[in-house]
Amino acid sequence: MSAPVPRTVVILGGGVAGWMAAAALARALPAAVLRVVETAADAPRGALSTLPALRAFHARLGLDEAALMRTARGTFKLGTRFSGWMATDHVEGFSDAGANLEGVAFHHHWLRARALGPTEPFDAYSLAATAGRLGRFAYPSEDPRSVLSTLSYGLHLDAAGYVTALRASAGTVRRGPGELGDIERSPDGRIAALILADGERVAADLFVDTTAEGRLIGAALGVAWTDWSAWLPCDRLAVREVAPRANPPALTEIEAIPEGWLRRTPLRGGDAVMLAYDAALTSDDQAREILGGEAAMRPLRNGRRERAWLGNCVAIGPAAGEIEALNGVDGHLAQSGVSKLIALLPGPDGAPLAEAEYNRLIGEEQDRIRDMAVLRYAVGTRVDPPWARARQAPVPEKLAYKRAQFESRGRVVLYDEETFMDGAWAEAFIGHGILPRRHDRLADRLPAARVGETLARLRRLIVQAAQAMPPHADALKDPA
Amino acid sequence: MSDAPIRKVLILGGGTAGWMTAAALAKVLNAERTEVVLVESEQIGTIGVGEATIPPILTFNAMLGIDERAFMRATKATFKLGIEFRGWTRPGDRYIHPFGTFGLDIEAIKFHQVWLKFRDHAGPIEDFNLAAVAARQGRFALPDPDPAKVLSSLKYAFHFDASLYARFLRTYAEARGVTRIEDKVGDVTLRREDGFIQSVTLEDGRVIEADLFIDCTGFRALLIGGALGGAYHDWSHWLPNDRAVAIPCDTGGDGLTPYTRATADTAGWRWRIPLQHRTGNGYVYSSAHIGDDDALAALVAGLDGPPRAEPNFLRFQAGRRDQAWIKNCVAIGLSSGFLEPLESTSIHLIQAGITKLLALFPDCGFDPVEIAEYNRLTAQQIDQVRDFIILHYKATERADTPYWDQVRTMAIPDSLRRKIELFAGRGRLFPSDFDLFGESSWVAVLLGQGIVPRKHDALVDALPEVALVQRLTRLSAVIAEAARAMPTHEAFIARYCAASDLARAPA
Repeated sequence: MSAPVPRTVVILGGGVAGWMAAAALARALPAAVLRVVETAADAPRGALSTLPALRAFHARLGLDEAALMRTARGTFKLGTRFSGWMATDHVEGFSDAGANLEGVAFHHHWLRARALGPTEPFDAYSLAATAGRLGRFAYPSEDPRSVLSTLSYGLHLDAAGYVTALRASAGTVRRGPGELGDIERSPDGRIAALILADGERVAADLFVDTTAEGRLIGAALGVAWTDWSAWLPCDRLAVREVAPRANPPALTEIEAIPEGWLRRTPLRGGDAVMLAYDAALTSDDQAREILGGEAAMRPLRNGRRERAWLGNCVAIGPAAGEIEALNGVDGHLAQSGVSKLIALLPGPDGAPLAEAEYNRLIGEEQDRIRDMAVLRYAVGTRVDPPWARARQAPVPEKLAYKRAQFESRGRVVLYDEETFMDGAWAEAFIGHGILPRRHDRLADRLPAARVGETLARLRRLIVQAAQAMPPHADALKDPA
Repeated sequence: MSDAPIRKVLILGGGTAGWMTAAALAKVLNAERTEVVLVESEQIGTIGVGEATIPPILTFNAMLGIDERAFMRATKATFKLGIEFRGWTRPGDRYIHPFGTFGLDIEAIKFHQVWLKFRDHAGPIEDFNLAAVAARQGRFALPDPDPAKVLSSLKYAFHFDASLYARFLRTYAEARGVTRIEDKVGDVTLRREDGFIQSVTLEDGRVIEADLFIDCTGFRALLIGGALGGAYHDWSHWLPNDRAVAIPCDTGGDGLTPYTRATADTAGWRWRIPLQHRTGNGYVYSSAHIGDDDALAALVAGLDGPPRAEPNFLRFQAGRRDQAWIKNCVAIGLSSGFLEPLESTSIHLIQAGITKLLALFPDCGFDPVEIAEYNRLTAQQIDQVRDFIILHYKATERADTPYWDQVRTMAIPDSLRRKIELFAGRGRLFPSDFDLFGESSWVAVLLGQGIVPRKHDALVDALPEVALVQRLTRLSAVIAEAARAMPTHEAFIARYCAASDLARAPA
C-alpha cells in the first residue's frame, strides 16, 4: 500500500461540495477509481451566490460557462446588496470602489472629499455596484484602458442544476444513492471501509466527507466541532423559490429583518429566497409566513471542525465547517478544500505533514471568512433579539484588531489566507457605517481643490459606463 | 490627546537610512506644514560599503521620481539579476538565486513540480529563469514592456555605493527643503508626563525639539535603545555571525558580474559586489569561530585585485528591536534590527520601514492603535526574512569546520522546520502572502541548498509526458535565445549609465 496517490476515493454526500470534490479529483487523478455515495440528506437544494474566483475553478474543470448557466439556471452577479442594517442600503460590488490615486487607496480620498463637501455614497464609485443597482450587466473588458476592465463577476446558480453540470464533467465516476450504516476501522484506527445501510462494503484509500453532519469526520472519527453560535446566532434555514422578476438585478440581495436575514438570489425562471433565523425565537410556521409559502427547512450550524483532515479522511464543504451565507461565497470553501487537497494529495499511507499544513490553511481561511460574517452582526444597530444577543459576545481577536485599525485611519489589515481583500473589507466596513476617524495623510498630496472634481469625474464615468450596459435580462438571453 | 498634525520631524543620523527617510518625507510631506531636519556628523562613519539591493528598490526610486540613469551614474551602480551562492551546500558547489520566477505554471501545477519529474534530462532549474541564464553569461538588458516577450519577465535591482546613494538622496532632500545640521547628539530629554522624546541637545549646545523623531543612528540606537530603553531580541543562537570586515578592491576576476556573489567560508561567508569603479568585498563571520586577523587574511586572499582602502571592521548582533516604534520615536535601519546582508535585505528593510511610516504617518496624538500595527507588520516581515536566511545555514551538508557543524545541527524556528520538511517530501510550499521572498525564491534556495524533494507532485503524472518534455525544451530554448540576444552587462552600462569619472584601472 504505497502508491503515490490514492487509487480509490469514496466521497460521501452527493451535494454541491461532494460533486465539486468529485469533479476536481476526477480531473486530477485520472487513474483513480472514484465513487460518490449520494446520501438523501445532502441532496442539493436552493441556490448558490458565488465569488468571481469560482469561475477559475470551472475553467480548470473544463466547464463551459454558457452551458453551465443554462443547466443551472444561472444569472450574473456583480455583488451583494445589504439592506436593513442602516437607514440606507449598500452594495459590495465585484470591482473595487474608485481608483487608487497618488498611491493611496480610494476610500481615503472619499473620506477626505466627504470632509470637504458633498459626495455620493461610497458604493456610487464602484462600477459593479452602480451597474448592479441599475439592473445592468456586461462582461469585463480586456482592454486595461476601458473602465469595464475593472469589472469582475460571479454567478448565481441553482444547486441541483450545478450538481448536474458537475456530474457531467466528472466523467466516469461511479455514483448512486446510499446511506451510511457503519464504518470499518483498520487496526491503526483509520477508515478501512464504509458499510452502507444495504450492507455493501465500500473500501477505499481516501474518504472524502461532504455530509452536512460530518458523518465520517465527526460522528465516526470524533473530531471536535468549534461552535460559533455566540457570534452567529441563527441556527435554521428555510428556502423557497418565488416568481422571477422581468429584469432582476445582477446582485444577491440580503435584508436584515427582526428574525434574522433574508437572501434573494435571482435564477432563470425564479428567485431562490433563503431565511436564516433562530429556531428558539422563530418557529418554522413563522418562517413560512415570512417567506410567503411552503419552504424547505434545514439546520444551520455555524462553526468548524478543529481539523478538516484526519488520517485518510478529509472533510470538505459543510462537513469541514459552515458559515451562514451572508457573504455570498457559496462553494468557495468546498473549492478551496478540494484544491488544497489536490495540492497536498497524500499516498494512501497518509502524510502527517501535509495533513497539518492542510488543517492550518483551511482553518485560517474559514476563520477569516467567519470574521466577515461576524462583522455584519457586530456592527448592526438592530435591537431585535438575535441581533442584540450576537452583539454581546466580544468579537474574535483578529476582527477586533482589523476594525480598530480601520476605524483609526482606514487601514485594512490582512492576514494570511484571506478570501476578502482590501477593497472588499473597505466596502463592508464603510457600507455598515464604520468610518475611519481620519484618512491617510498621503491622500492630502492631491490638492484639496481637485478632490471634489476628481470624484465627480469618476462618478460620471461610472454612470455612463453602467448606463451603456445592456439590461441583465438581455445579457442572459444572449450570452457572449 | 492632540490630533494636531506633525509640524516637525527630526531624523537623527545620516547614512543610507537617514537620507532615504529624509528624501521620502521631503517628497511626500507638505514642506510648508512639516519641517524635516536631519542631524548627522561627518565624524561618525557610516557602514556604507558596496550595497546590493532587491527589485522593490525600483518602486522606491520611482516614488521619489528619480531618473534611473542619473541615479546609476551618481552611485556608480551596476545591475543585479540575483545572487550566486558558492560553497553553501558543500565546498565547490554553486547556485543562483535569481530574481523573477521559474518557468510557467501549468494549470494548478507549479512549474518546479514539472521540473522535478524531468530534472534528469531537463537541465538545471536555472535554465528556466531568464535572470539566472543572463547572469551566468554576464549579460543584461532592461525588461521589454511587451508582455508577449520573454524579456518582459526580467526582474532586476542594483549594486551601488551606499555612501554615494546617501549623498545623492541628500541633494534630493535638501533641494526639497530638508535642513541638515552637522553635529553630534549630546543628550536626549524626555517629557516628564509621558516619557515621549521632547528634544535632543547637540554637542554645540543647541536644543532641537520635534514632534516625531526618527532614529537612524545605526547599531548605537541612541533614541530607541539608549533613551527609550527598547528591548532587543537576540537571534545569535540561529545566526551566530557577529563581525564583518569590509574592503574594496580594484575591479578584476569575473569583472562586472550582473549578480552578487556570496561565498561560504570556514566561519561565515564572503560577499563580492561589483560597482562600476571598484568591487566591494566583505567577510561576515562568527568571532567565536575565527579571529579578526584570520578573517581579514581569508578576505584579502580572495580579492579580485589590489585593495583600495584599509579594512573596515564591524560588530553586530543578529536580532530585532521588540518594538521599532515607541512613543514618538521610530527606528529605521540598523537601529531597528540587524540581519546579515546574505539576501541583500538591509536597504529593503529601510525602505519597508519608510513605506509603513508613510502609510501610518501619525499626528501629535500618536494613536497606539497605529503604532501597534506598525510594530506588528515590522516584526512579521523581519521574522520571515530571518527564517529565509537561517535556511541557508541549516540546509547544508558542510561538516568541514566546527562552525558549519554548529549551524547545520542547530534547532531552528518551527515555522521554518515545517517549510523545509514539507518541501523535502513532495516539493510543497505555502509561503505566507506577506513574505518578502515568494515561492520562486524559496524554491531557488531550497533546491540550491540541496533540499531536493523525495518525490514530485503526483499530479504531474496526469499530464501528457511527451508534451511536457517538449514544452520544457522549448521554454529553455526561448530563454537561452533571449539571453544570448542581450548585450554584455559591461557594454550595457557603458552605454546606459557610465559614471562620468569612470576610470577603471586594468585589473
